Amino acid sequence: MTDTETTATLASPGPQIGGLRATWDRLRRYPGILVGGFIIVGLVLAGFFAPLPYDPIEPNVFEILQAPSAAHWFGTDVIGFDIFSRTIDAAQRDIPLALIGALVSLVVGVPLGLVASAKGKAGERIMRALDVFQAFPLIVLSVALVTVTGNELRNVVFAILIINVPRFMRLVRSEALSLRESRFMEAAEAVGCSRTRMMFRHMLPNVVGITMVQTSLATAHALIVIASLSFLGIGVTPPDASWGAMIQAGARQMATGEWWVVTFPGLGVLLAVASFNMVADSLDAFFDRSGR
Amino acid sequence: MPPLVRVEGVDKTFRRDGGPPVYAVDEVSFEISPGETLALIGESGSGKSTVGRLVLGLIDPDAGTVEFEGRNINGISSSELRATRSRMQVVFQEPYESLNPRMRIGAIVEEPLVVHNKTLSKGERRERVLETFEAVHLDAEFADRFPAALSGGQQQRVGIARAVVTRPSFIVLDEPTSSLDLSVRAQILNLLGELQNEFNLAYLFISHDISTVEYFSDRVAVMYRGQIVESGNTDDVIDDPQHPYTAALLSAALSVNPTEHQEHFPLEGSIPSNTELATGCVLAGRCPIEIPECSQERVPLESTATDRRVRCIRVTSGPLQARLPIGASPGPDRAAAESNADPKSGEPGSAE
Amino acid sequence: MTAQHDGRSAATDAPALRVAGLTTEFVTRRGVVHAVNDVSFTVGRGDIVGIVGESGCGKSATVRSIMGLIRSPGRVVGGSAEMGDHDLLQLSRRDLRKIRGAQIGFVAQNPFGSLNPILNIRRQFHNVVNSHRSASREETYELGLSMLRSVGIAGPERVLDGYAHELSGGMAQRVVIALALSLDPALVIADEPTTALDVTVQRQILDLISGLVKQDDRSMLLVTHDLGVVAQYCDQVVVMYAGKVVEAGPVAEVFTRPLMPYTLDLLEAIPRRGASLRNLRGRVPDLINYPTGCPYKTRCRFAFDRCLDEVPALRPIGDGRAVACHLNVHEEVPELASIGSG
Repeated sequence: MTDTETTATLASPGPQIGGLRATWDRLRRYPGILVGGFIIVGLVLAGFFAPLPYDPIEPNVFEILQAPSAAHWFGTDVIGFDIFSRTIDAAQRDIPLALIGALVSLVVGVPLGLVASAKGKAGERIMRALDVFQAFPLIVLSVALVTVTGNELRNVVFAILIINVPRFMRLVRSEALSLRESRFMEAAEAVGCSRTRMMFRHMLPNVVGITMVQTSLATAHALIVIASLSFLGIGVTPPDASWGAMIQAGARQMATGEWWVVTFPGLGVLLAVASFNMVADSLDAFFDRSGR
Repeated sequence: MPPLVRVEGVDKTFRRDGGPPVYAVDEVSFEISPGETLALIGESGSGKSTVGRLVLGLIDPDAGTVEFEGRNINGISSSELRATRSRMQVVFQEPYESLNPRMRIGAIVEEPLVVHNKTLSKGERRERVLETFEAVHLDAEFADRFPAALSGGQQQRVGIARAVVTRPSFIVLDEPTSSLDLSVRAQILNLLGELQNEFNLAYLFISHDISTVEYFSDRVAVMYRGQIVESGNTDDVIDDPQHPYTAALLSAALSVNPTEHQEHFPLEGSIPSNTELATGCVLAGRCPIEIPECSQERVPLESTATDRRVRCIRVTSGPLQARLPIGASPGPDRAAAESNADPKSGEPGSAE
Repeated sequence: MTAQHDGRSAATDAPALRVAGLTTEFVTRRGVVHAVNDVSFTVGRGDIVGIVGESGCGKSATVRSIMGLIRSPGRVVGGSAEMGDHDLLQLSRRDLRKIRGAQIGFVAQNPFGSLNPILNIRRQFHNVVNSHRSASREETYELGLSMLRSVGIAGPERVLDGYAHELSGGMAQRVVIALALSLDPALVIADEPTTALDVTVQRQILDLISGLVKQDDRSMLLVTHDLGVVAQYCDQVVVMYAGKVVEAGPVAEVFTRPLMPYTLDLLEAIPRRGASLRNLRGRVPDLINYPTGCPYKTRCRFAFDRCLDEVPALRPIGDGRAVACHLNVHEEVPELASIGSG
């Protein structure tokens, strides 16, 4: 007795997935990824290519602390820098730096998290060590590190790593632990897959979604770390523009009423962080539903 | 003909830090010949699914041996065990959960070939996958979809396709139709029957549904609290249950014929937690034909006829060797105790 | 059990529940899901009526509609559900709440979902009773004791002072039944009450609930996917398919001489020794793009041209039976007779 009709009549309404075109169609349903991504790319490219009204590292000592005007859209600061030019210029330094920090955290944290999820003593030990490590205030730790090893950009990346790698590890580990109990992992083992194959063919694709989300969040957080560090005078050093350093410099003028010095770089941070969070949010929904 | 699968005296206790040990499987033995279906029937917590995992070598027994094709699979290296998996497969209860949500159907069915049949070219593999799709009545167009786009019945066909693509000789079917609707269940059972004939497959069919077991299996082993309490040819066991638990399980099944009323043979109370180890018979405390000796020492599984074994001292020894009182009215002292299931009497009985 | 059902017996011989033309839809991104389509049936006083069908046939949506439990994006778009002088579908949420519990007892599939995990059982009896009338703690405690005894719980004092998590599945379902009956409702609605329980417990619970219903002359609407449950415990059966009632009538008649091919196919899809298993082709139709004609036409062995575009109405054919099928039901279909003997 056969029932080939079963499948013939089934023309399932589920989404047919495959190909670039289909991926694009699916992406379009999650505008946050596109809008957020567009703002971020726009900010970075503007810093590189847009013709800025003034040279961002050439102060005009005759025009200090000018309020926003037609000549200086965002005003000028105490040294005479044009704030608009510097806010845009800072994006191409801060955002890539934050992204690099987040991506390196990802590359380091995900495999470590997978290792830590392994059964037995090794995984337990890694997690206990992580507990101790995370008990320190990490931003203080990063500051200490940067002070000891010198004020270089790679140390900023290192500081971002210190803060973000443990987060990736915990996230991936907990995700891997629950996946390990799942039926399809058991099925993969029963099929005869090797451990490596199970880890890379079955486990990894299922943590990609959540790590992508975490990467966007980590980038947003890294921006704040960079800003905090340069607020403390670490990392990006003058005359190069950085949102954090600009905010720090502008903080003094808040009391005297020159609000624009601190506001516009602050808005830059806000916009970039919000964009990354928007991307993270949509990625979450996107990966949650893709394949469904 | 030597048995394809031989399980001998297998025990399994799960021990976790901070929790009491869970006694899952206790002295389980059985054999399965090529092309044969052995059903393992029991309620949740009876250990039947754990037996399936032990047979597949997904977990190791604490004691006893599991042999497949004459080789002890517990002694061999993990790469040898993996190689064995091309001839020994599994289909799980939850069709969706057992498929990787991020793999396309084609890749899922192809994977066992990638792992085991390394000499096959990509084109040959593709051909085998499509052949298997046809064997399980699945449209080739599904190959590019993800599991979530399929119905439950189709997902289970994918699970079955993955299991048969390497042409195994033995498949563990762990409640393959329990989560499916009646009409889909019939389709899947028919398909499994077809494949068995086509490839001379042996099945270990794990189930809690008596009618499915009756329809589908050659032999049956009834499990309760980790032990096989009765085994034999399916028809013999169903027509003439000898262990009181088997009788209770059979009498709990509801006939779809409204004019046919199966006498209820209820057990007292509920299944004890499997963190407790029984000193004597596993059914002691619930059994309607219990005598004091029942809770004193372990009850062995003994033969009562050719290919018929029962783990009950009331049946296998002593002068009380008698048929179970199924259909007969229970004695007066029992009537009160059993009335918990019979509210019409208005009597508060002992609860589960 | 209590003196309360005097008020009920004073009523006329009207049915306990009369559902007519019930239609419920769910609005989704893909379109409108026609979950319940023009469903009509009657629950006679003292009767146990089974609603049976496969998943997605609308049986649960039907009882949820009657209970007023349909929430957005779902909506009841038509029909009535008369209980005594009330149309349950027209009542305000507040009036409906009064009727639920007092006149309708509800038993759901998962007993632990129905019990509050952080209140002891005694308190839950108190709350249920006090949501409808004021009663002292002593009074509700006594009621709890007697209700728990009536559902066969031996140590009711201990259970009353305990919590849901301390109970086994079967015990928890007994407690839920006791709670559902504590206000002495005329109608009990049970939605797959034993599906989550083990087979040996299932029969105890069904014996219990059907016994309690019959004993006090209540009525029960029992939703299940299990034909065996219907065959053994129900007086009347309503077979649903694709949100429609396709056959209804006394169980003894419908299950031994099914008239709608779907009912027949379902009965033949139950594995039995020696009999071949009916392979139902295809699957349930898409409830968004609802098919024209008979919803079963693509799977039906007996379908003919009339089935393709003419919707078969549910028509009474005598003996309390009704069927929605174009086949001439007075002509015996040969296979139909074989079921009873299986």
